[in-house]
Amino acid sequence: MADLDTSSGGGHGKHKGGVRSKKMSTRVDLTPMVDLAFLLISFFMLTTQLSKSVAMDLAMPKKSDDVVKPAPVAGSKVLNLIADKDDVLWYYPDVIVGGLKKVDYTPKGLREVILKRQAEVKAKWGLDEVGDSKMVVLIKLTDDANYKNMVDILDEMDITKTKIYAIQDINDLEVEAIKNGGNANVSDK
Amino acid sequence: MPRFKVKRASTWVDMTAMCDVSFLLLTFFILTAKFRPAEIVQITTPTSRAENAVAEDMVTFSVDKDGKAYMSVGKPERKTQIIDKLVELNQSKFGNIDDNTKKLFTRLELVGVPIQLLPQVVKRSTAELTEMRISGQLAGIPMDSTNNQLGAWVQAVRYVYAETDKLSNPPVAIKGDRESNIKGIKRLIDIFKENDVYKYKLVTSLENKIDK
Repeated sequence: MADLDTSSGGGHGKHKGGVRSKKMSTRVDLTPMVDLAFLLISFFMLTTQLSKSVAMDLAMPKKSDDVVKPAPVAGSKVLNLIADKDDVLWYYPDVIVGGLKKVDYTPKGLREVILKRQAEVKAKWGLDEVGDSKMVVLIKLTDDANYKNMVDILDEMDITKTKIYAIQDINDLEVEAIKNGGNANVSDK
Repeated sequence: MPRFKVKRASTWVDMTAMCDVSFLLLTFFILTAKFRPAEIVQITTPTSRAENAVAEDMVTFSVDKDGKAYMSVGKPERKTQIIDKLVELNQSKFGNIDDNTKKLFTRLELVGVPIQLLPQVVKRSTAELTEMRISGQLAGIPMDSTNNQLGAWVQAVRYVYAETDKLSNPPVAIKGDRESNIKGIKRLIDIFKENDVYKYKLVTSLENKIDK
């Protein structure tokens, strides 16, 4: 295996007397063994890396009865995201429900929306001391959304460095707006 | 005229040293490798960019595709503490649990049945439990408001970590299936909130897209 046949070819030349038993080499070719060992090494290296699961941190506000009422937030800082069924995401800026638009979870979709709103908020309010956006994202989930949607949105918060966000309950007006395909009937209320 | 005879060098490479090294590495990786334990409940976690590793000493509450809740505890000695605490806090509700069940409970990988059924389930092996899950006999921990056993478990977990480790935030994690409806997760978050657990981890797997 790991060597070439360099013995001067047998066959010619007469043997002097009798049959000589051929001397066997005691060297064992280890190449296949090394092959196997490296194969197993690569396998174990890869599996140790792959089985690790990771986690993201989530902190929720304390029960509302033992904290003071949260300070009101200026509507011009707010972006609302509502996760709906079938991976549909609705969004609208400000606090007045209306003109909900659909977007998807791809970087071109959701991330663009967040970055655009961040730019608007920055133009009006500037940045905070550490240079992060002052945008407030309110995340709402309809009962038909799935867990992946929630993690996707939270992940997007991390990617766009949005520090202020909260998971809230969806309100009736928003439910209605989604039913109407994005247009809230504001005159009702 | 002298004739030069080029001495033919052998091309034999001695593989012994290489073999030694590779097997040394192999042994190392085998010994350090920790296989993912056979999972009784299959949960495909969503992907994220988060990179915090999941600690070993952690209590994971899982929600599967059908919205059933399960609990798994990372360290066996914690299981003893948790079940003792659970019995201590809820004796009137669930009655006592015999010592044998408690002992076997430390080997139980995943709690996936109402507390009343624990004595029957602790004897089963992981393979049998998987079988039960497939046939739909593993009902999950009840978490509706009339029979909120999951709340009792969360409470026991919080007490254990608060008393032994003085941790106000127990190391708990939510592991949800990417397909699972948000209602189950929301309910779990509410139960956490009811039991004063506000900080936890969401178990995800690494994102392999490179679109950061």
